[in-house]
Amino acid sequence: MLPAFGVEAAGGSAIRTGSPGVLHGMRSMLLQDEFGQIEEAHSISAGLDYPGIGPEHAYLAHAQRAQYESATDDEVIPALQLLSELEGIVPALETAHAIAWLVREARVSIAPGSTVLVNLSGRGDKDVAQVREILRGAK
Amino acid sequence: MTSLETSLRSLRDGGRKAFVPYFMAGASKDWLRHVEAAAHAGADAIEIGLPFSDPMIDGVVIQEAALRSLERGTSIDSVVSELDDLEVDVPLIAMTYYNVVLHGGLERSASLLRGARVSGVIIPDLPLEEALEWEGACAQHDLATIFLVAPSTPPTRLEMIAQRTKGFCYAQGRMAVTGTPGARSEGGAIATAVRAVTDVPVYVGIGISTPAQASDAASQADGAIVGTAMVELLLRGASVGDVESFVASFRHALDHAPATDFA
Amino acid sequence: MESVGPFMRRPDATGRFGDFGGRFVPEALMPACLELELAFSEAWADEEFVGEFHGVLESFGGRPTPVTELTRLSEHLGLRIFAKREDLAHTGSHKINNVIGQTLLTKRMGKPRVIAETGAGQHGVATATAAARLGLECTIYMGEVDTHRQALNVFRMELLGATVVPVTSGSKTLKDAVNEAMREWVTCVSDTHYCLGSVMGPHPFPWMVREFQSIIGREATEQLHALGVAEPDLVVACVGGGSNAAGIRR
Repeated sequence: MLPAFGVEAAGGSAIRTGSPGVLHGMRSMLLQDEFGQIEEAHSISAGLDYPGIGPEHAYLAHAQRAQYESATDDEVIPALQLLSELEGIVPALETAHAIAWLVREARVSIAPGSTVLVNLSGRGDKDVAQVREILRGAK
Repeated sequence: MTSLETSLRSLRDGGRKAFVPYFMAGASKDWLRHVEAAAHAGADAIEIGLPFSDPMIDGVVIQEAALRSLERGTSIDSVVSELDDLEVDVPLIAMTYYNVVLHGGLERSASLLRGARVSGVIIPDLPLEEALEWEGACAQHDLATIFLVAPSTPPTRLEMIAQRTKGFCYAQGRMAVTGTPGARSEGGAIATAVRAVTDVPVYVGIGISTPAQASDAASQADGAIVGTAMVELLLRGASVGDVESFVASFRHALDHAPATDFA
Repeated sequence: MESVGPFMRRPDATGRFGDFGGRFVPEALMPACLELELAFSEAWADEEFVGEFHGVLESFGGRPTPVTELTRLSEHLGLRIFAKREDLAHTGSHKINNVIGQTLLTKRMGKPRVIAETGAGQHGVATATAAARLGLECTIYMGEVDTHRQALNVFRMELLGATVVPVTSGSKTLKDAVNEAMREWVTCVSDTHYCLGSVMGPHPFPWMVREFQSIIGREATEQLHALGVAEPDLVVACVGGGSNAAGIRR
């Protein structure tokens, strides 16, 4: 079986930092405190600002049939810029998490020359204004 | 039979319509005094909300109370320890969401609650199909697992629920979250349908905010539950005296309700 | 039509994937979840429905989306990277796949209205789009914080004829938008379908949404074959709820 990698936002990583619980009709991995109160996720991308994850992913992670990693807000913006400049594709901030993980792990945990299929799940038009604000603030 | 059901049945058999107000545990520092005032003014049982961050079936008023309670640091453990100071002799029924008891451990949560004299638990996001484990934990501690029947529940499900529920059957009066004003309650019709298949007491809740509505619901059911209207009063800073008169007004209406038609 | 591949499996009768999943909803919503499970099972086994789903995806949704070899990024990272271009699907993300499936199912169930939650607005825009195309009424719940972060998407949904309701409870983001959509669903479940946007929520949503999204992986596999790649060494996708990851990795 070939490895599959799901890349969560570091501030909303239910698999890596959560525990099993019930929210929104499902038993899955959730960000929660010691009393089972759901905690807020924090991510640069609104689409990944979610304290849970689909139950099938929770299962695949526990069964060690897929791997779940995370990317930080700080890694995501350069990845978005890199894909834009090298490929002429501005990805959504959500999608840029997958790219950010590739950029970080290439030549590290990913063997050179590996063939990779990345799901370019969405375009970044909706995020252009937000990215501009972030880059301006960084200067 | 659970001790909750024994006492609620004897209430019914004595011809008394039950009034059950709801309080959010820990929503204010004197919440226990409010509970005592309600019991003193004629409440037959008290529903105690254990706050959850994401209350799926609750409207804005109870959401706000839950938020205040959580901000005050309320947890199942803190409530259980506070209940030591509560001086009432009516049954206590906890209402919470599944993650709260699941995270604390089903067996441990059931044991803690029963130790604090809670005798029944309502978990609205735990339908029959998911409840077996929790029912097992509760059965070991004489804790009644109370299920809801909704207006959308078809007859075959209604029958299954009526047979599995313990303590009483909670007839959800309206297709709405708690505290939504509006249309007529379907609770009475549900109560009649439940009564046709089982002898367990039936209380109507969700959509009852006035003594007249309570009295109307109780004409076909064995009792009425009032949550949002009670909690709203407290969020506005009601005194112990205000709670007493609020409960007394429902008590009066229920004591003068038309007799149940068992035909 | 089920994508019972070697990897993603159908959940058991209670909607479980191992210990996870299930259906923890108020009794008021149980009949709707059961009805939906039945409706989807029947529709997904019905060639006519599946044909219509693929037809709308092709004539309206912009499918199939291409696979692009990212040659310069590949060179930069010392890898051979192929991208499945869901950014080129109608409305700019993979969300349209699920939404077309669910809105067609809504019509099939005879319901005239959909509600949905949205975080960044991608699922909201996709739902508003499919609802407009199929003549369904549409209300979108969006955390108030997100309505500010994604103000243009709010306007976009409104242009598409949807009503956008800012959610002010809790953290005012995606989690709270889901709570509010669930609460709303209780009040209108008889004539409204809740078009959940990811592989989450009560059964059958995680399974159904994954099935609708599995078109991504089916296409990608064929397209890679055509490019001479039998099987990539690894597959990568971002995960919030996880629908695009579930879709590409069948």
